[in-house]
Amino acid sequence: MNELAKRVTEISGQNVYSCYQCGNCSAGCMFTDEMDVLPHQAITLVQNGDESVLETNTPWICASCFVCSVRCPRGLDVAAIMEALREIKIRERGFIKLDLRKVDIEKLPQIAITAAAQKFTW
Amino acid sequence: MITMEVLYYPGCSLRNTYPEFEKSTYEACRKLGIELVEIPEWSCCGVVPSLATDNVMRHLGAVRSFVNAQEKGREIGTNVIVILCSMCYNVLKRVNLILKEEPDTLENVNNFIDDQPNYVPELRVMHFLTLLKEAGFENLREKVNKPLRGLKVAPYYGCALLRPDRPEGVPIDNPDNPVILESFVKSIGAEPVHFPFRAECCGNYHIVFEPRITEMRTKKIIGSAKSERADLILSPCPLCTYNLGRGNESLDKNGQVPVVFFTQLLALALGAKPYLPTEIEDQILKKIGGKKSD
Repeated sequence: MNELAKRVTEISGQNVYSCYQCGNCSAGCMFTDEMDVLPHQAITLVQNGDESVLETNTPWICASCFVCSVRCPRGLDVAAIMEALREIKIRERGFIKLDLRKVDIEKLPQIAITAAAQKFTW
Repeated sequence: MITMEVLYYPGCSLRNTYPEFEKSTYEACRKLGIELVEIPEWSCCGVVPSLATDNVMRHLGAVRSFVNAQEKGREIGTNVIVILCSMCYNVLKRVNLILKEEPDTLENVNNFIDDQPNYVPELRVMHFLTLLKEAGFENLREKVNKPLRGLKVAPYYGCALLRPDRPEGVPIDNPDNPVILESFVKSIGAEPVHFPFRAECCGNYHIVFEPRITEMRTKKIIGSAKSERADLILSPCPLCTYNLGRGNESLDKNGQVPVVFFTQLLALALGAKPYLPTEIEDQILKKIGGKKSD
């Protein structure tokens, strides 16, 4: 197992090698129009140990709606794999995806800010 | 319906953003003989469940609430926690199931929270809709004294009530073909309209830094309900409600569909105060030919 796959497995608890590229996750995903690579392609990159996946916007566009996870015929929690890809970046020292100081706390409800903070900061 | 006491977890959104969600529920529960006993010193659930299995820190808000709930539950003799907000429900349900299934994780969090008693995972986390379903929608129908006849309602599930399906037991209904909200709508006398976007994502936290994405999603959801001639969209979720509201703002008047919490319609149908905006309540009453509540 390559280093990237090892880290993804460790964080997500999912064996990325179970994926056989059927594309069900990408077919069901409501956000693919916005993504650099599709969810099943991101998993291939992880299988190949290609760290360029960490620089794609795909994990950040994922909204954790879990349609992919419900539909995966291999029982993979694809949303958890996306979370692992986010976590790898978030845990890097100095990496900032969401600067909470710039969030409009007057306008946005607490529920939205807290959700974003959970997913995009550590 | 019989009188019962259950533990109740309100969550932050019901206390500051959408008090009408909670107030209409209290009104309805008074009519139904359900007493909601608030968990003392509950904590924020964190809104979205952490999917990182190597870090349990994000579970702690939920667990602290469970510890307080378990004490209160022993006092009043129940192990049922009822939740209204779908995001809170999803997090608390998941964390509770994980703690039931994984003794190591349970030990880990119990060791960490050393200023409170240990959590023994015997609580049952339940959505308010499940409580109504278990008490029987047919029994609810009998309590309805102002049936919302002629009102076309688009029941919007969103994600958190239906997904993920692991750990087993999170969805309150079949994730592919849910019927619980439709059954609820029928029991209060309204007509559920079937719209294909009922279980699609509103864009969730993207409202914070990519509102363009939530707008794109919510316009589709509202448009889908509109094309089925829905008078209202029924929401069980404060975040969906906010995002759909922002979607409505970006549409012209003819394309908009008002969004209300399911408990507001419940209260109205039971003859209790629904805490609806006057304009929407008037619209509904005009539709069903009834008089304003007091």
